[in-house]
Amino acid sequence: MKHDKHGPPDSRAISRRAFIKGAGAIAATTGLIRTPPASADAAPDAQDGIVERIGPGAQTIELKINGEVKRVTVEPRVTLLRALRDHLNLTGTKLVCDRGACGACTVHLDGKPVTSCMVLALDARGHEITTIEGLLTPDRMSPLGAAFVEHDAAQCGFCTPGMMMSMAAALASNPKAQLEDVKRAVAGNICRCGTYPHVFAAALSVVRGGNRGES
Amino acid sequence: MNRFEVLTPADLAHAARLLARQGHVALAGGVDVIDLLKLGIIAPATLVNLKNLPELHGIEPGPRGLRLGALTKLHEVAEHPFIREHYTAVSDAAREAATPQIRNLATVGGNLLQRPRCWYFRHPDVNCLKKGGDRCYALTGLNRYHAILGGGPSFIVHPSNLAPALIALGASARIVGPSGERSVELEKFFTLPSVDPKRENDLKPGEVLVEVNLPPPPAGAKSAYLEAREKQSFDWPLVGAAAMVASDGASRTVRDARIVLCAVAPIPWRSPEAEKEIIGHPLDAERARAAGEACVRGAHPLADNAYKIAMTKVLARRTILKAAGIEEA
Amino acid sequence: MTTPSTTPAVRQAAAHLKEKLLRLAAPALGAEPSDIEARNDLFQVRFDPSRKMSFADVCRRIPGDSLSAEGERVPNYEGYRRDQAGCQFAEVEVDAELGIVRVLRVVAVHDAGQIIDPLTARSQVNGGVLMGVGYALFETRRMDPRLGIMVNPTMDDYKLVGPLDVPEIEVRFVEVANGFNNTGVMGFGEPAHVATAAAIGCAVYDAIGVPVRSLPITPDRVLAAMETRA
Repeated sequence: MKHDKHGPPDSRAISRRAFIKGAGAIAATTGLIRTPPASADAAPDAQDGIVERIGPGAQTIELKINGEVKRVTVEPRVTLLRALRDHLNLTGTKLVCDRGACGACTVHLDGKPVTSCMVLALDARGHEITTIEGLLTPDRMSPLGAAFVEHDAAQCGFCTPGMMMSMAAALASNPKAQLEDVKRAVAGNICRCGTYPHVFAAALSVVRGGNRGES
Repeated sequence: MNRFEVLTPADLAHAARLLARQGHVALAGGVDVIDLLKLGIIAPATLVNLKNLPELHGIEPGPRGLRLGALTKLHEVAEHPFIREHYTAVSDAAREAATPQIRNLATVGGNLLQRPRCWYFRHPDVNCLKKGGDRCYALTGLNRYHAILGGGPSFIVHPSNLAPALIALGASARIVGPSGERSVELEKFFTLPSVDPKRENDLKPGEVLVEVNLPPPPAGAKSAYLEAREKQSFDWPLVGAAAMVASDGASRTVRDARIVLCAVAPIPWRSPEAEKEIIGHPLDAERARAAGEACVRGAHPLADNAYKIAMTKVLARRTILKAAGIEEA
Repeated sequence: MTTPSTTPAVRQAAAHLKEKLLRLAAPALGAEPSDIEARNDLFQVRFDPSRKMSFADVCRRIPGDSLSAEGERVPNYEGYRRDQAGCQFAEVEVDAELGIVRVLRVVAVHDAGQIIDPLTARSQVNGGVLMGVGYALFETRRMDPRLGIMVNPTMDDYKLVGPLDVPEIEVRFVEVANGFNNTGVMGFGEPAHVATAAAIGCAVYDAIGVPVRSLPITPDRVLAAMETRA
């Protein structure tokens, strides 16, 4: 288990029985819709109608990242981005603006690109999280990754993981994307080096090559 | 960001009861709440997680119109074929909002309830009127993006581009609180700073915005939404306009219309003056131009934002004509 | 400026290394190092090409694992012009009613000395052009004059060029031998940047008939300029 960097766990919070029951239950319901587990009535907070109480101290949650279930001990205020970088050592996902405005922290949540700086780690429970490490590695290059290299679609490279996550999702859902589509696909990603034209070229070369962006 | 706990209520009634408590803030899509937490504008002890409440989910088209659960994501609104066909303005507004990544997170409810983007309000070192300070710094400061209509004592513009489109199509909001539920026309949901500069809407402590309901569009109605931005990529609108125009086919005589402006006032700004210019008349470019002029008749620009008056006239005209399907010469 | 700063030192180091190899080959070929030439994988005596050694054979004579040499970036040579020429063309579309400018196309023609890698050189110019678009249309630090704070310090409010603001960019290099360093490489990130903003300003002038004399050319300024025309 990773040591929590935000301070010692709050033992008072940890001891709440609701946590153990609730965390498991919610993780199993894909985080969305559907009524709370039937056993909620038995929860200690039932009189308040609370099915899960988590925090403010660090607590262990499970996240499914790149196909593997990872346990991470974080406070509720820790974003998915921070959990990935600071607690799980998945540093391919970049921290830049921390406000959802630049796209450097883009990951996939159930296949859709989102800015991980604007998602609480605990809200990512029950979702399939894909990071750049899950998309490709130097040993397992995706067609899109290879096209990025071939077209020099990275200058300083800091926006590249986020740029690639956005583009991979777009090409997966629209393998026939044209220039306007690939521009729109990365409309939420900022590159200060101005490397966009080569990003577009890389994506379009994947389209022409008939690849789907994700290997 | 302060430390907080996250509570997941079993049902809507319990959510409302929790939200009525001091220091409890709703967590839904999270985009604006996380932003406000990071800025220190809010520092709640408890976030109340609304994601598991089934009443807040779903897009339901039907003969009586359309129900949009408050947790509907913007990308779902933008892509939904029924919304695209019957509530085009809403679909267009959702597609123009934010970025692809944010549209995958942000919800209809969050878009309507988000706090203003004013750079004084969002600046951590500025204690403005909206944050309990004694003045609106935009009034005498840098106000190029601020209100030209309805301002005072705060001069923010309402940031939602979905709200004008929804109002143009006659939306109402269903709200559930600790003591029952109410339905309010979305047009009347927003609050001018002259009433209370610290909030932008009428949601009371403990109340949850559950869903937005749209009636079937009037017969022959078409709608459109357009916005002007400095950047084509992610940027906030300088001015936006939503229009619903219901007209008789051949004569083009307008039977019903709604014109609602975005980013010009502290609330989504409906313009009955503009509507009056076109209702009962055959619509053409000249009529639409007159409606555009009427939109800004009561405008009071600040030092840096008079350009928004010219822009509003143009966008209102173009949106009306786009909704009506009339090509400008 | 990285390439013009570093390549002369690299080239000098390579030259020093070559001298070391020539000295290794000299005894085996029975010639002075200065009489040996190295080309096409071969070391051969200039006046007697039958006396030759392969590059691999010379390398086998390296004592230890490797040979190393150092080079230095010396000051530019005197007596050569260091001027840099380039042309930047911009095509813009102005929404005359809203004052919104879109850059449709930029053609960048640059004297770039010796191009080492055409692909990354184009990246460099693309970057310069796009920063130029931002400089021309969007970017500015807005300071509240009384509070002394920057009101737009975020990536929301400080407007950087995004993917949908990217024009079609055509880059042409004119390689000019300039002689002021041993590789002839020069830097051209900034020329593409500064000139682009000027070209966009001129194109806006051409489109609306009046100049906008301050950057960024935001809609309010375009509308105000057009008002003076009326």
